[in-house]
Amino acid sequence: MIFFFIAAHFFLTAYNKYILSQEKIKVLNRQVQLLIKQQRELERKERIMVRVNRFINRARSLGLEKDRWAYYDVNIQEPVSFQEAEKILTQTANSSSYYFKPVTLHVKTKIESDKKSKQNKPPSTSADSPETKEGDILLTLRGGFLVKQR
Amino acid sequence: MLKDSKKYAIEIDGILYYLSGNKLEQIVELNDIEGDKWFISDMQEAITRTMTIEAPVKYAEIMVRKKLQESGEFAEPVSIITHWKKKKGKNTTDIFFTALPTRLFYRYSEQIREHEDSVILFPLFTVLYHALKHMRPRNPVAIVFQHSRFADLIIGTKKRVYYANRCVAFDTSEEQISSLWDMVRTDIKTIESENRIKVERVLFLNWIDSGMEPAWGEDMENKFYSFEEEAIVFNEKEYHLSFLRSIRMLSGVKGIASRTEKTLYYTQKWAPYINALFLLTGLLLLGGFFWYNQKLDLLQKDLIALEGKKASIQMRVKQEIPQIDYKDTFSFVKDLASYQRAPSYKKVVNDISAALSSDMKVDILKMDYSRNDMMIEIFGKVKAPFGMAYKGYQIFIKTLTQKGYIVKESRFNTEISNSEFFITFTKRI
Repeated sequence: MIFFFIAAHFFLTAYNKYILSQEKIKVLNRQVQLLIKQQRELERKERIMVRVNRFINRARSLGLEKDRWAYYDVNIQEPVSFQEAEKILTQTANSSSYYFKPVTLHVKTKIESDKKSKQNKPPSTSADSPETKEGDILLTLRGGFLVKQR
Repeated sequence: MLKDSKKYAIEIDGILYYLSGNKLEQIVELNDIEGDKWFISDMQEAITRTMTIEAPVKYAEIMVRKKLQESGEFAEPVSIITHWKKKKGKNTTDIFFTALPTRLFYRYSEQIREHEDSVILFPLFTVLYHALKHMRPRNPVAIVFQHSRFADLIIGTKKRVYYANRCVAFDTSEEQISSLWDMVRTDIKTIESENRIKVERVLFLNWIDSGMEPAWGEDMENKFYSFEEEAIVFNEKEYHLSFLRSIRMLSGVKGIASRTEKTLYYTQKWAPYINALFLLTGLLLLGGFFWYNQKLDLLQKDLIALEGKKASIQMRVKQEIPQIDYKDTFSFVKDLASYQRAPSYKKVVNDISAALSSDMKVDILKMDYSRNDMMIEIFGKVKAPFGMAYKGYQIFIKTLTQKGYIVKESRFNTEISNSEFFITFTKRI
């Protein structure tokens, strides 16, 4: 009888430990799976960062950094003839040595009738105001030239 | 195997015997037998009867006791051992019992109690009744146990006991034994006529002093059988006794002993088997312990490996990715790419000029650029009849759409000879 109880005690202890270990392994397996997922995500991020680094290094080697470029603002608002307008527009484009940043272009062609209506009004105080200059169109142009500094 | 191991003390006609295996020997007192035993006794001075009592089942024994004392069969207090009882009518009970003086009953009880080992007592008629039950006869049968100058008779079926009595002769002379059997026959016939039954078989049980099997009258309608016999040795002489066979059919539950006594008896009897069972179970559990320990070792190894794997992955996961300042450069490159892709003012103006028909005049043209797209608003007039004007307007839209411009809003108003249009385009950069 004593032998039975001792054997039962040892058996139950071993069985409990076994069940406990199985549970531990289940939990650990889940944790490891989660960590493997995190690791994969990390590796993906690393790969992206390597590509970003390569890109940035390449951009830097090509001088594509803001502080190495000069920006020249363009702001025109005046009546111009068609020939003048064409010249201006021809220049506001990218070239091999600079970029042009287009922002706004407003063109108003009916300034004749406006001028007639404004002749009855007293003259403007500013000599440079668009109304004082004659032209085919009223051109409003905003943008900027971006030039790489040597 | 279990039956063979039992020890029996048999008290018949005042002589005590000890039966073990196939050996019978005479002993002086119960204490001569060591160990647990079953004690079968004919309890001299006891009488065994069947009665129909005018009382509920519950009080049948009290009424029997009263009747026996009133009839003068016992001049002293009497104890009743009930073998069987059954409710017959509303207030009537059939009972089959052994009655004996209370002092005798106490003597037996005392003897059992004082005995070192467990003793279970069986009155003789319990053995006979059990043999009857064991046979399970559908029709009435009679069992006769003849020993010395006595014949114990019981008549019944598997469900009911009709009659029980002890017939007595003056001595064991042949003549007296013959008249003893006549008495048995008379009893059987009387019961048959009283109960309107037919006793099909008469079963004979013998003892060492029973003598020859009686000649059953040919005029008797009942068939006479001898119970299966068992060979035993008594005083170095071999006997063939059928009474022993009926003893083997006994169940300890029907014996007279306290519940504790019976429990102790069966516990001692089954102890080796229970111990063996516990030992076997213990061994199995021990085997299970070693098996689980082995499994546990393997699991522990897995556990350590998993812990290691977890730690190494954790180390790697905790490592931070070196961050570099890329946002400004990246944004600047994106801007440059946007300027590169953006259609120049002149190209847009040319696209619009090329799409306009000769009658269409643009009054206002607005171009607004953002990083990813540009928006164009065109307001103009057409100096032509409606048909031509509208056709020109449609061609204008179609031409620009083909060049990648998307119409966001368009309005066309006409005064038949003059028309106005307002269109908003967008284009992805």
